[in-house]
Amino acid sequence: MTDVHLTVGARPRRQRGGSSWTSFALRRAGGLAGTVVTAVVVTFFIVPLIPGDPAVSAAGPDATRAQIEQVRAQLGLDRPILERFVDYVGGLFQGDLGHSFSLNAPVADAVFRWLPFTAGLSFLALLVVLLVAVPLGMTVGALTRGGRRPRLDSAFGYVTAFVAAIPPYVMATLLVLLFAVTLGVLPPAYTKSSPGLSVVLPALALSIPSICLISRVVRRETAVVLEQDYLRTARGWRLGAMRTALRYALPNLLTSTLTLSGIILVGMLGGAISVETVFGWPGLGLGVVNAVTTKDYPLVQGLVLVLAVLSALMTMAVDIVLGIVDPRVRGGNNSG
Amino acid sequence: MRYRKLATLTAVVCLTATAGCSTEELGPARTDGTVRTVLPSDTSSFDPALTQGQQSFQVANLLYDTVLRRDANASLVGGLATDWEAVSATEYTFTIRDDATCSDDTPITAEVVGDSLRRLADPATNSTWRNLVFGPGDVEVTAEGATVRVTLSEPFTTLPQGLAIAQAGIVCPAGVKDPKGLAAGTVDGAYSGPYVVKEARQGLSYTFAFREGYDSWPDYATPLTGEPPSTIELSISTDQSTVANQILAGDVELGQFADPDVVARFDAQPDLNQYPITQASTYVVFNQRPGRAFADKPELRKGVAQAIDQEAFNAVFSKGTSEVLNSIAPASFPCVSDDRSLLPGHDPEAAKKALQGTGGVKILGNTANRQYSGGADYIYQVLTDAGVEAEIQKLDNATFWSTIAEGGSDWDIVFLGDLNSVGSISASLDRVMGASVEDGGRNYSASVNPEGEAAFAEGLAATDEDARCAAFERAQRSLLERTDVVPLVGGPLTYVTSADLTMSVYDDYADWATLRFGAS
Amino acid sequence: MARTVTRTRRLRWNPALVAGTVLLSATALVVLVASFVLGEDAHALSAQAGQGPSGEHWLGTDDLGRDLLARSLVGARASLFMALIATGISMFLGVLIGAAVWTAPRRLREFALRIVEISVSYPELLVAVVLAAILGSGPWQVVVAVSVANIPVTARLTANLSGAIFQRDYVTTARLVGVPRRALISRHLMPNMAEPLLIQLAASFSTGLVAMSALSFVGLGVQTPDIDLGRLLADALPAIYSRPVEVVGPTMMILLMSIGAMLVGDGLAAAADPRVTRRPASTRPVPTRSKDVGSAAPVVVRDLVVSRADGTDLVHGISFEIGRGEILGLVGESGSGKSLTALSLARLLPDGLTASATALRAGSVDLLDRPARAELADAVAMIYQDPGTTFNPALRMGTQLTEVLRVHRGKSAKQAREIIAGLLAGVHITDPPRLLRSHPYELSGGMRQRAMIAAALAAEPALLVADEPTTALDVTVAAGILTELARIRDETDTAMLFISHDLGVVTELCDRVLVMKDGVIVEELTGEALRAGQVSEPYTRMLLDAVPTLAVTS
Repeated sequence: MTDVHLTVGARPRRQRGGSSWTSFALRRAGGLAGTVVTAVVVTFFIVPLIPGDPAVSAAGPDATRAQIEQVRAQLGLDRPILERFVDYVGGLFQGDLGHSFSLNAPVADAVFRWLPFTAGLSFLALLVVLLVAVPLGMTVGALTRGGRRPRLDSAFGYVTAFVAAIPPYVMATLLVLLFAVTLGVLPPAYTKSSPGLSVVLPALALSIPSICLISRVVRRETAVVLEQDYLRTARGWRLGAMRTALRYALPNLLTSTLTLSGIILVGMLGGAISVETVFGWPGLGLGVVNAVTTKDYPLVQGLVLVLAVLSALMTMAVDIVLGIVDPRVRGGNNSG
Repeated sequence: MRYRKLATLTAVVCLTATAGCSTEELGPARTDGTVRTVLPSDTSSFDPALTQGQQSFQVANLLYDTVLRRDANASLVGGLATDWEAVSATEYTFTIRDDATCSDDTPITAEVVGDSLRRLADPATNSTWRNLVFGPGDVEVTAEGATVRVTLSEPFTTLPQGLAIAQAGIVCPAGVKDPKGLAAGTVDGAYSGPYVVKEARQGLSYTFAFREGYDSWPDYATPLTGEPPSTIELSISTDQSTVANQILAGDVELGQFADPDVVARFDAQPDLNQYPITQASTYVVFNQRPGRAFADKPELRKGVAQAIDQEAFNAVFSKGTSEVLNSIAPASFPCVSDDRSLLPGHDPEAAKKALQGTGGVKILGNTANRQYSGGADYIYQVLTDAGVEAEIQKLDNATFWSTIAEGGSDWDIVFLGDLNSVGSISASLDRVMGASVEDGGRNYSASVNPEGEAAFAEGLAATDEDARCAAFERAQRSLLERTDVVPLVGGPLTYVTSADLTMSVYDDYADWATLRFGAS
Repeated sequence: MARTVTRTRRLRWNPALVAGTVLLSATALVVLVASFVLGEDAHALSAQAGQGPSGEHWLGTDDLGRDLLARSLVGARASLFMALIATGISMFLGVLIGAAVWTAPRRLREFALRIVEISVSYPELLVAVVLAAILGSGPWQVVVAVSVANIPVTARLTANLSGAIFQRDYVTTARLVGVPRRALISRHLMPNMAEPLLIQLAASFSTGLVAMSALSFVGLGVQTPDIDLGRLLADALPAIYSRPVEVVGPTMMILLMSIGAMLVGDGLAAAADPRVTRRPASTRPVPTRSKDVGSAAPVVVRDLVVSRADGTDLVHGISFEIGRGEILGLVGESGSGKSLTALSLARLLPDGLTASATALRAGSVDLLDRPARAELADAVAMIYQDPGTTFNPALRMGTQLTEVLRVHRGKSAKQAREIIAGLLAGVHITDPPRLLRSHPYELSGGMRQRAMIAAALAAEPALLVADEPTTALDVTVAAGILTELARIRDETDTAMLFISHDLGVVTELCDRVLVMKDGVIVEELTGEALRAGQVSEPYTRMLLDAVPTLAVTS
């Protein structure tokens, strides 16, 4: 779900004034607060638009009409929506995300049970992506710069396009088919007894398409960076190919790669929705699908809220790291 | 999350050297007495009276003993009761065994059983199973000595069958006192059955532990052999293929599958045990509210029945693996009609004649899974082929049920899967005759069939088994002659267990409390 | 930052673009034609249910006996249209929002930008899942869900691009003179954003395809009897273990269209970025040795030829020497070969160019004989034309300036900083430690060029090549730099090659001047002769006449 070409124009805005770390941090915190508030308001009023009656869903197909109404009252769904909203917001301040009726447990309990799985899987996948895609893209970029090795260039382009075009859940199924069913070397799904092994396939399923996308971007960025004047300067200082690449090319790739990582992580949270299903990986994505199908409003609201906050936090983290790596992002003139 | 760090670490190591660590934990099933299983969704509640959905019933079977229990050949055996008697169509007595205890060692007396049944019958409990167990009338439950007496205001002769369902499981006093904790699985003394909730991590996993010293097993005709699992671990996964992979990899010992393609994967695995059952009955229901296309038009309804080929439907719905139904319930249920002459039979020409030019027919389809979605497509296709101007709308499972539960909504034909958890034809009959949903009943079609209703009521009042069946069969005859429904096929479900794990299935009822390792 | 794109050029075709376009259009054509021909088969029930591939049914049949190939093609047609429409909607609205933001009043703009930023932080698929759940199943519902989920990304891209364009002078001017907003957008914004947006269009198409199929996979999305590729794939996946052939049709279709779109995006990106365009591969010169030409001069150039890979010579065998402490000027118009001469000496010729010579030597280092890096660093140092781009923007000045000392002289970071600080003070930087802590963008052009000189001096090179070092600077700053260079000549023995198109500057600074034209030295003059205006070549005369009469004061 992450698109390569995004980066071409989607780097952080740098034009704005305000020089110090404080205003930079304030801006980011403001963005985070905005995201949270929007998520709270939007999810609360949007989610009930999902068709299907949660009271009927909770009461079951054998319930009579009177019983359905009784369940509706128990769930508090018979109260005016604004009143419920006030309660919901009040609850949020105490860490109460509501009560899930499909799980018969507080939403927060379930969400924070799932959260480590999704977060762990996404971060691991991102790590793999960065560890593989950046060196791969840089190497190919350096090897093919200025029109060298045109065959390697197109082979890389076609192969990565092919792999990246495979929908993540198809990739997941193929991996299971190969490594779990045919070769039997890895567990096909999450098992409590060996979580370390069972994370391998989902992490690969999530990371392989991203590796292709990112390495393509890194390759292109590398080609661009290698043409820059400052690289000629570095070459003029005769620092050697390796040192030039690592010290002069890499930091400049870092900005775009980091920006991309943020986007990729957010995309992975989305990709997790389908990949987690294939691997029975008990994360937020699997939770969202179940909550939507059972019309469990409080659970959907809680999940969307947590996912939104999570992705906003990650965007912010990336921004802050970018601010450290590339001071221009902070938009200062004389930070010294 | 202690293992998270380790997991990440292992994974990184594995990713860099996949070949290095590949064999850990894989291989033959473990034999430490643990059963690992996966359900498609969480159990909605640990309160048997409030539980919903097939998976929750199975869990309730583990945790709560019932007064009676289902056995083979549509018979009932004693569970917590050693003896029972239908004094009349409205009065029943049960003699409670003296050796059963709760998980907190409270003896399960007639008093305890009575309290639990009274709670189930109490409208304030709001159990959807109340009417299926006791009927719509008032209920009085008394306990004297070892006897529990149930007195009904309206005849309901299927009461003993109702008391054998997991939802009528007996809740111990500790649970009755704390309904909230009971539902959440936090009351340690609430359980009357062989297992207790050891850990409930909603949304993630559940662990059930066998109660040391439990020995009040039902009085089955063929006694169970082997060792009950010491622990049952349950996790959640919606994807059947995933669970199948896990069983084949030896990571899971018990699974349940509705998709025939998935079930077919086990055919090459003779070591694994397969238990196919008919979990639900599928049939077509017409909206007969005034003004709808099929209201007061039995000839049109008959045309629809003629357009449908049950065998072809079976191929689409389940690759031909399902039982072809003669009525609205599986043949294994007592008193189910087996008279195929009551069905119009497949006759596309006659169907075309009857249906040609019928317009404005709206079909609702349920997308719960491939089978239901494909079945609705089939019905849409054959009706279109027969010249009906039909429109089909697909809804997800929850929306589908809430739409038809509303009553007079915008639909003409649905094909639904009726999960009759009581195992009695009466629990299916009142879905298709009698009071409509808007009048507080369960009849989705709002059909008016006084003859059938009279026969149905007669059956509920007949204490003699033969007389009861005769009456229920008359009710079905009337239903089918009017073509209020078009019976299709059973909804198949196959349980698969690892080689050393067995389960007993009584007709179409799989009881998790009968899981055994090393049974002969 | 947005890669700035000048007004719409003619699209330059490249292999990826061609392959992508061909793949996409061929797939689309086949899908359209075949689905009209086979449309009936896609829905017609037959008795041959669940069959494998055969002559009659190339991909077999499904549970209802329908031809899987026909279904794949009909599904592909639906997916194609759905993805196109969804892409169209999200691009149209996204671009509209992104561009409109910048024509809005400041307050509103800030607010709108904030909203766009916030909406981007929600995972697209999550938004699509919730929307699809609300809208219900069906093709248009899916289109709406996916396109709405995609709008924020496009809007942010457009906002960033147009933000950059709006700050350009000509747009500011246009706004000042009151050009209406609509005209601003159509005349200035759109043409300049066309290429990045086209790339985004291709990306939206392929992500849209995948997103739609993912919706089907989780049970939302299109439902039968309507079919799209996602539906077919989701229905076929559970059977992958028993009948993998069912998965083949829809997967191939998704792959073909998605790859096509991705390659088109690649091609457009390559076409949009002149820096990534292809140049002929360089032919690596075989190392040779300089012939001993019997000169004691620290820098010797004999018969230097610079040629392109296709054999065209750009510099035609020029020869010169530079003495100890001498500044040799090399003047000529752009394209005369003077910079190539300098880069040959520094062994920094761009890819695709090769230099050969009878002798090419700086100090004791033979530049033809693939010298060791440290030797080369000792032999030649360069000062470049544009101080704005010669330093790495991501690194602090201190890191970059001390590099040579640390790498080649084995100095510790502290020692190197001290040495550089001294050199910086030498070129009249007032607060060297502060400069070392700075990033390049925090410094003025003059300061950067002074720092460049200090870095060049750090290596104590035999030859210092200054390639138009003052061209990018304003007059007073340039004068300061020239003063520094003159001082270096006076204080050290360094030989210096000073390249400029400006004869006035050269006149002031150089001891000796070579005039180059079309790769050949046309005239050699002494500084005095130049200052006296004693030139013989008409070309030199012309260059001299072009010098404004503002003399440089040293």
